[in-house]
Amino acid sequence: MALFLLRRLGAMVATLVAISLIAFAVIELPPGDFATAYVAAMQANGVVMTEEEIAGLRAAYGLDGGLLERYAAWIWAILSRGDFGQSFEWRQPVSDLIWGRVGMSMVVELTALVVMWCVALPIGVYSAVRRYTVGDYAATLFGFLGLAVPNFLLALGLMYLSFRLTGSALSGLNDDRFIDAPWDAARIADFLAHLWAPVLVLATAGMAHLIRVLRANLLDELNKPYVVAARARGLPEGRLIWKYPVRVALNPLVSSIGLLLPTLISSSVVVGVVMSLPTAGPLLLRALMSQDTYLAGAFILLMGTLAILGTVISDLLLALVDPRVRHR
Amino acid sequence: MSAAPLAPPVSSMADPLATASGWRLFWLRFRRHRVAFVSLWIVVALYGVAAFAEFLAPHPPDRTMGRYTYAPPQPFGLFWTDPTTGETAFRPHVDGYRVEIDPVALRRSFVPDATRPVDVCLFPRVEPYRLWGVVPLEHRLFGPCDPNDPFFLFGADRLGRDVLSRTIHGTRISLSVGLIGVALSLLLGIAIGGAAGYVGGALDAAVQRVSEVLRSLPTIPLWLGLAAALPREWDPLTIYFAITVLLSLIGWIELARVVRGRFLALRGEDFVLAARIEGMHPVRVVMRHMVPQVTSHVIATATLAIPAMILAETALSFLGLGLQPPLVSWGVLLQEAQNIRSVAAAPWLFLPGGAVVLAVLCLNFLGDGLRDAADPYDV
Amino acid sequence: MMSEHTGRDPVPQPLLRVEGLRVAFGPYEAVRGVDFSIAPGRVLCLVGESGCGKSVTARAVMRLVEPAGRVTAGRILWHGGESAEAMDLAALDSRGRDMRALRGPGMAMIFQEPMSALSPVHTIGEQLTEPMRLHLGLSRKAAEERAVDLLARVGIPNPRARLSAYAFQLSGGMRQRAMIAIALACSPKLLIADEPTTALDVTTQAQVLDLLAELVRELGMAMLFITHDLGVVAQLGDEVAVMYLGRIVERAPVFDLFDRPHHPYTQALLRSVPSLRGPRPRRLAAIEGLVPSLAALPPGCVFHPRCERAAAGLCDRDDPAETATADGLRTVRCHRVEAFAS
Repeated sequence: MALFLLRRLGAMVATLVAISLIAFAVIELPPGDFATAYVAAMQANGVVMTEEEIAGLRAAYGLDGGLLERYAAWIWAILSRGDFGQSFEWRQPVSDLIWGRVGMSMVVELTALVVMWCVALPIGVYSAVRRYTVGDYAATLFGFLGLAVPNFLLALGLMYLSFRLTGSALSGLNDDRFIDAPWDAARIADFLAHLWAPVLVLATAGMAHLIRVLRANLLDELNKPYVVAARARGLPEGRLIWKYPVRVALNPLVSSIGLLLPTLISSSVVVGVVMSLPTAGPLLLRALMSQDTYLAGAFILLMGTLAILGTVISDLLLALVDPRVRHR
Repeated sequence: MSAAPLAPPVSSMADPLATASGWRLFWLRFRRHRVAFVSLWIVVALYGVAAFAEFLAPHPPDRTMGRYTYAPPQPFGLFWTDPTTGETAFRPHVDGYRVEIDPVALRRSFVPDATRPVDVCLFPRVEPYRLWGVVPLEHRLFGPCDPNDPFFLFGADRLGRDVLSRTIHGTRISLSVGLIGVALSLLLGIAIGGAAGYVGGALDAAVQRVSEVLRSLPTIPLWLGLAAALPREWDPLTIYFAITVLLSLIGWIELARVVRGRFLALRGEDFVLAARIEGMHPVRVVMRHMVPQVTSHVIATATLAIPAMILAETALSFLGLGLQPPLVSWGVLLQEAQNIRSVAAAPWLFLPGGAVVLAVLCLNFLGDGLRDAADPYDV
Repeated sequence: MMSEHTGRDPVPQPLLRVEGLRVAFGPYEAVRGVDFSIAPGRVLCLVGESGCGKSVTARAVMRLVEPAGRVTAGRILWHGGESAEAMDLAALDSRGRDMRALRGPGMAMIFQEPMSALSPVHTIGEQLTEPMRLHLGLSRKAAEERAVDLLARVGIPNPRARLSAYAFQLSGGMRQRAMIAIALACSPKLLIADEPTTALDVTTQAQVLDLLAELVRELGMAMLFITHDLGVVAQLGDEVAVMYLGRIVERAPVFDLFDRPHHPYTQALLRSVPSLRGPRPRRLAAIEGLVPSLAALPPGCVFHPRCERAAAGLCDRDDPAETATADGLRTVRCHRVEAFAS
């Protein structure tokens, strides 16, 4: 167990380094560096910077060193001060811009994850236990559609329907009147009234996948001798199914939460853009379009880190529920 | 997802599966999956459309008819009843348009008008064009007899371009991204997964770690970041190849996983061991004895990887960081549908999405069928 | 270790009587009309090659073949209930309350592969106390105390610690002992053992068999023992039923059967067992031919294609009926039994 944990943590650190390298590449790849872009942006706004100011800027961000030095300076600023650099489009520190957005993304994504599981679990179990019934075929069909319909199309379709039926297009997570309003009961109620649409869109694709995998896993388990043995002990059928084969069939799915999370973060970028949510996705896209490199790099770094954390958490969860992993 | 026989094993020489071997067995098992078999033909048809897009589409993809912005789809009919005489005759046509002007908003809108038919011909003569940029042609499969008549079976977009023709041309790009991307992934996957599975040890562990890292990354932000870093001055075709390469940088993982797993299993088999003991060159062992054994699995996994690529390209292009106009892919077309107000006015802009769903669905069914045929004992 | 041979004592009232049992999986019939009965305290061994339907018969008694299979005909009469009337298990809903109430306190089962018959993610203690709490209404604490006693009884050292062990943490023999303890949890009247020693190594096999024989004698339960191993039959059984292709071809008290097998199939089976006594044969006798598939059963007696005594015009045309010997202790299903049983 200790070895298992140590291995997981080691892998996590290595992955984090890999992600930071990729994020750094996103920052470095566009022509010019931050200082030239910043100076240009300032000039566009009519502010002319002196040579000393520019030199100070370059020194502050370690821009004159080699590639490795620049990377070290960037990472060190993040780790020591939480300083992700400056967004020159917004002329604010990146850290002021991202946390609210990332937090909002996490709320949407985690809600979608919970909804996904709560819906997929009974449907998956039902369609395996009642194999080849109308319900099973319906679940299978839904599974394939969820697989094939890109989630932005689903979001657009939902918005179109809502627009047609109610005249409002289901965008955002709050009505405009709540901009900058405190999080009182009214705003939270309005937030929840908006939240269902993106959550529904995000949950659908993952749900379809979960149902498919759960059904296949459970079908494998249903005829195993330990199920017959439990039946031979006189257990009621419903309790037996949930206690034994479902428990076993869920284990691989618990570990797949870790792989579900990156997908969920990916989808939420697209859905966030389509539904104009105040989440990380739209701001990331905008940052990439305008080559606001530090902002974009920070988002990619944070999204990757969150995905990795999710993987590690799901691994720990698996060790918790599966004694075969725990006692290895 | 095949129904496993519940009865005790029954051996019978009359069963073709008992006597067939190799590829024939694979094919026979595949044909039992009816949905997968139908999907195979749909996929073949789609790639046919991709190959002959110029001939099949009634218009060039970038032809604008400014008079007909956001014109709705026209109903098609084989027989036409003359409203004045009441006579019905065989006359393939689509309804023409009547322009209505909203008196309040002063906005023009088109309404299909059955009294003004637009005649439709097979093989109409059009402006000369080149199939694949090589073969000079002057006819298309079908279209308006008079090339200046409006002919929009799927409606028109904001510049009065034919959505059907653009969707047909988009098929070429979208499906080829999937194919080329998977081909690249396949090269990477077989090389990396094969080496890991054959050599084992430290190399295998390293490959495992790397693919674990890549698998736990959220792909869309990553692709977006890398695509945004592509130089803006590159021409669309270079961007197309660059995007395809980017997609396959993640795509190889699953393929490598399958190849590695099979190779690890095969490495212990006696015939491989025998070849190694005889001193056969490792590359020859792999090519001669191991690759044929994994081919069917690889084909199945590769087929399942194509729809993922198509979806990825569609999402990237939809967000504006993938393929760039004037290239036409399904994702580029769906970009037109990004604004909910324009979609509300012209819901036919969703139609390219239908092509995405059809292609992805069929490729998934096909891949599932192939996988089941390759490995009937796996679920 | 030999169980007391009581074959010729007056036969007591049976605990279980199976009449004309048929079980089908889709179009294939795996059990094609089987009759037998077991009295309390007796051991009936069901012997046959793999695929002969012996395991299916055992599972059908507990109504565990559903939903893949179906009991299509016959009666499974259970005399273990409170009332004098027998209960026909074949008529019950296989998942219903009555059938469930019987599993555990009425009859229990041990399986061939203890590893796969134990849940991989639940402790031994959990699976052992579960039926006690369900059927006997014991509290968790009381059930655990009883579980410790049971584990000790089946010879598991340090039983209290084993309660929190998982199947994969035990050795094969220990797993099967745990499985036996689980089966005994509610003191069943009938224990069905489906090849419980096949997956074990030889030493462990002997230990588990000894344990089972001891338990049967001590607890007075009946046992239906499924095996393909004639050595085990001799060691454990009171009565033997030999199955071939879904039918019992010969049934007799164990020593009668070994002394004077009547059916040609039984005779062939006994010849195929290597013997340490007597002259060493040049090679082990095998039964000619292959077991026909259930999809293409031969006409007449299903054994005739492999039978060295098959008579043309009789055995390949008519299905032999079951005939009992004069003393009623033995039944044989063969046309030519008078001619050859001497």
